[in-house]
Amino acid sequence: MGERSGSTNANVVAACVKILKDLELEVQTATNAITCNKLMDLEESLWRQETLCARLKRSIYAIRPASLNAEGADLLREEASRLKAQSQIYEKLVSRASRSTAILQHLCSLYRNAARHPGRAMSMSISREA
Amino acid sequence: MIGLNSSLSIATEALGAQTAALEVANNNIANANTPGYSRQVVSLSSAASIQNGTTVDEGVSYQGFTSVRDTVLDMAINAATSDQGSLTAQNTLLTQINSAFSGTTTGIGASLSTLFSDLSALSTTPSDSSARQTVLSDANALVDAFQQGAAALSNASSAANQQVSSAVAQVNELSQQIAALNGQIASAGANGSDGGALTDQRDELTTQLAQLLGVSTTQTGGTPTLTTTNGSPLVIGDSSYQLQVTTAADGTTHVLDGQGNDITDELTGGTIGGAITARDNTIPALSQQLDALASQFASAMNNAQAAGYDLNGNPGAAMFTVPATGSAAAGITVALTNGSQIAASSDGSTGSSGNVTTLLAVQSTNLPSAANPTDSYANLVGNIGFAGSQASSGLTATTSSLQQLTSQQGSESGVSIDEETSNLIRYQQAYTASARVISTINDMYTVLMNMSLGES
Repeated sequence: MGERSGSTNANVVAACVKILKDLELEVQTATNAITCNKLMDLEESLWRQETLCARLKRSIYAIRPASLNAEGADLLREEASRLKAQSQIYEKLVSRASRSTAILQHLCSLYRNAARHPGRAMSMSISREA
Repeated sequence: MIGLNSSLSIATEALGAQTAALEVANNNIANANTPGYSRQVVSLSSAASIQNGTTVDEGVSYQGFTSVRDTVLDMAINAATSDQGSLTAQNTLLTQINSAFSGTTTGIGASLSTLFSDLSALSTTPSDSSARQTVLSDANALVDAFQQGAAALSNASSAANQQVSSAVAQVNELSQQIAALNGQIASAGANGSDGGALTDQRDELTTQLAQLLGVSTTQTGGTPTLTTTNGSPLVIGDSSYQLQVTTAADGTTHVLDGQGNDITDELTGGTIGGAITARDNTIPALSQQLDALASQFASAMNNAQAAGYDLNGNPGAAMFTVPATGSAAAGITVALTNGSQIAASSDGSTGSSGNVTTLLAVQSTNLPSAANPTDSYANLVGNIGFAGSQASSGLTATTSSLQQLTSQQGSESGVSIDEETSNLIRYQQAYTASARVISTINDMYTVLMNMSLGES
């Protein structure tokens, strides 16, 4: 009984590690998609990331910490750390890209308003935004 | 699986690429309504290397940016612009001529009609000096109308000469600016830049040049070359070749290339081509027709005069004088100085009006041009109207074609704020979703760390 539960836990850990690795790959794919301005690739990768996150959540809660051996714990810690590091880089990039997009959206809006109200000083809005 | 250092390197490249993309997008949006601006796109390529037989993703490499252009479309626009310039010049000149010939109460047609009407009245009172003086005044009015018609054609020809001179000066100025831009574009290229804004400026100036003159653009060994359609160089690389104007013996303005060769007859398209076509083809044909009418009408009237006798019983003298050389319409004058000289009498008696019938017959008798004077004049007016109508309808068609081409260019090279905005919204939604995933990853990381640390 104890052996079977230990083996089951090892399978769950292996599945969990596999998901962490897949997620790490997807984070890299999304990073490249953002930098290459490949919106479709980014959207597809995000869909896969969300699916992997849901699966990861289920796998993690299936692990029984009491039965987790040192090898399994190391493996999980190592992959989780790697994913964390990747996601931190990804987070910075998303934050930067998001800010860039917000500035561009504001510029588009300013441009439209300037076209509608040519008398208005556009420079004031720009400097306020900056 | 790549290491953390590689990831950091990829991210650094990525942030650089993002900054470049932001600058390009900013530039595109700011220039959405700039005439001649071509949308710029960022050139990024995936960086990868093969290590131990495995392809390792190394992120993205920023290659610079390029402007979106369609050379064939640009050439089509220049050709259409050139046609438009030519037809505009012709249409302007022909409208000017048409207004001088289109009057129904004044002008040659009305004067002819009045002359014959008053001659008809003279037949009932051949000895009435007042009626004779009226006919003489009518003849003078007709001569004035002929001279005004000739002056209108001559003025249009002079206007064409001025257009050519003025346009050549503009061509030279534009050629210099284009040559200077070619130099700057070459320098930018040597520094690894696309020179997009400079190329846009050059394309815009080339289109302005096409409005003035038919041009041909080629690349000779990487050097942009701009020539007239007959091959005379205007710009080669960063050197411009100035056209010159000179006045020929007949008073017309001629165009010489950089080597001093007369290329007037070879220039087509643009304001210059249109003005030259109107000046050297259309206007001379109309002048010839008007001169023929003046000369043949004068001859017919003089012959009719010669068949009769004036109030004093003398043989009829010539009513009109036409110069032996030059324009008959411009030089036609009334030879008679007194109404009594009108040869109304057929037998030399004072009360005879028998020759008035001969004089009146000129109105309905065909001239050597195979039409009577009234119809000959109607033909002339019809030809002026037809030439004007052709130029006008051609201009309408070319303008429409040019609008379509410009619209096509705008959709390929121009910036659509709507498209940019729509993409930005999708990006923003993607970033929101990314933040959600990152948050989940962080939560999972905490759970896993607590779990694994608790056991180790």
